[in-house]
Amino acid sequence: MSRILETKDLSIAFGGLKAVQNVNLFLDQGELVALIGPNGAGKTTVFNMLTGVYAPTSGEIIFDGKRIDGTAPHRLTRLGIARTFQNIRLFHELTVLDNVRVAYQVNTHHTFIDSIFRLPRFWQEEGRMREESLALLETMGLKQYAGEKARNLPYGAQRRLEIARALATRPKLLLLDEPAAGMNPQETRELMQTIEHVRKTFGLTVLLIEHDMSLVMGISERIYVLDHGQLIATGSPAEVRTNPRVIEAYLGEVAKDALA
Amino acid sequence: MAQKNKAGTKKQGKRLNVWLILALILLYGLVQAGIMTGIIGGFYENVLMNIGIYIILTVSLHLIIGITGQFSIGHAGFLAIGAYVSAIVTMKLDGPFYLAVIAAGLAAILAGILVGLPTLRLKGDYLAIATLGFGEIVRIVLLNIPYVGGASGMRVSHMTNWTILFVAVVATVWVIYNLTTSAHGRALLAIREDEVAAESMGVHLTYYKVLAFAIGAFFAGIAGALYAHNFYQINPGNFGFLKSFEILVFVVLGGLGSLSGAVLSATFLSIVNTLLQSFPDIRMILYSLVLILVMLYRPQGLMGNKEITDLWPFTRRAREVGER
Repeated sequence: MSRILETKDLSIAFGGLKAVQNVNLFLDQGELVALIGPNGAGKTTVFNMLTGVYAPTSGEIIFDGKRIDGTAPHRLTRLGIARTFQNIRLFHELTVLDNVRVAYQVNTHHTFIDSIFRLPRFWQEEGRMREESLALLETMGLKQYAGEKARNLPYGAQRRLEIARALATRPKLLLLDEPAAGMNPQETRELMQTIEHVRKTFGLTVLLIEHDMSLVMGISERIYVLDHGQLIATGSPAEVRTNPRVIEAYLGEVAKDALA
Repeated sequence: MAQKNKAGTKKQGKRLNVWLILALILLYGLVQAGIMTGIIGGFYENVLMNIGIYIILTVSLHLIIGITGQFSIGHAGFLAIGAYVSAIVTMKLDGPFYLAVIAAGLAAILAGILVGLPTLRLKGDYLAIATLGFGEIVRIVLLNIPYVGGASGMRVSHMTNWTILFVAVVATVWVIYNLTTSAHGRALLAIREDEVAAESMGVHLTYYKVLAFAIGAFFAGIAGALYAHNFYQINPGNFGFLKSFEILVFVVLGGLGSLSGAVLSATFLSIVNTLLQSFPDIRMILYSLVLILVMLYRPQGLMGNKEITDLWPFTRRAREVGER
């Protein structure tokens, strides 16, 4: 297995606040790894550094053998990193199909000149884009909504559309930021199955943020636990679950004493 | 949007296009015949010129504000650049008019890129202030160049005719429509909807914003050339903040994001403007009143964000079949 992503002493400070400190993590090709931690632990900040939204204050990010820290987000998308957002950020006034097609344009080769003059390449590329986008919507169970505006979708479907949109960029690495937030247990289970399915079909590596621990136990191969901006534990779900520092971070000192 | 790639809808789209082209040829021919036989006199010809020029201006600003969501209120600056560059080509260099029109568009593109690159990092109010500043800078600079006549401006011969106006209007609407209904147009819409999400879907923000700005500026420049050669006289006072604001009002009235709305509101307001010209004292009052009424009863603009084809039963059905 080859290493697809690695961070070395990744840190970021906002003024005096050290939001993330010396995080070292790695992902191998095809793994599903979870990054968990209590609210405010710095999980989304780590994501924002991995996707180029923030440049780290110090440390390195290596993706596919290349250093990528400080690269602009749209470049990283082209390199093969896609993400979803914790608070849904769809293009609300666009149709579901158009949401996916916006992401697909990463893989198209016609220029705006082709578009303006409706040259043959425009028809070719737009046709391919449309077919592939519809196929992707079908995989994600969203095809019946294709012509609907994104804001009119039920909540669970909006979450799925976020994932579909990320997949349309044909990523190697998919970063999911609390994809199950606000879902009921039934929807969550279905979502986890979808993620498993997508990972197998597209041969993806997935890094999943979640703060509900029980949720990720079932599907992740390894877990990193972040608290106050630092990694406090790593290992298989079973190891992490019994780690006293993790229990302390989640339940507090008192609970640890009670369990002991 | 009627042109979808599925076999059936593409055919329907093509049939619609044939009718559209026929209607345009008919419109052109009728008006041309009217002008040649004198049925459409000088006054009405001038009304047509105004409508056409305002359609170009409104549609070009619609690309920047309605589609890309970049709140720019310096559009008169591009209009001024187009007007002056074209006037220099025809009056000072004795160049042909069509060359002047193209030069005006290219000069405006250059200005659009020069202004766009640094300012498009700004958002919302800040971008509005920066573009407002750009418009004023253009005006003040023109005011202080003796070569173009300073405050008294330049005399320009009347060269704009119905043919060139018609071609320019159709080309503007056609280009902006084609751009909007393509992958590149969707990238622009995505920027309007959510910049952060657009960027993480691989949309190069600066590139697309400058692209929209440059294409919008190009057509505003062309409108400037047509404007200058319709008016006999241009001076920096024609291109003040009020002009930018007027174009902005046209776009908002049409409905942000609606191309047909932009065309309709430009036509409607140009006619209202002309009708009110006979009452100079109450013109501004009535004009404001019309705007207030529209904003009260139709705050989303004439068309909202819908297109005229959405309201047309035949094409609406075609579109739904295409989308689902």
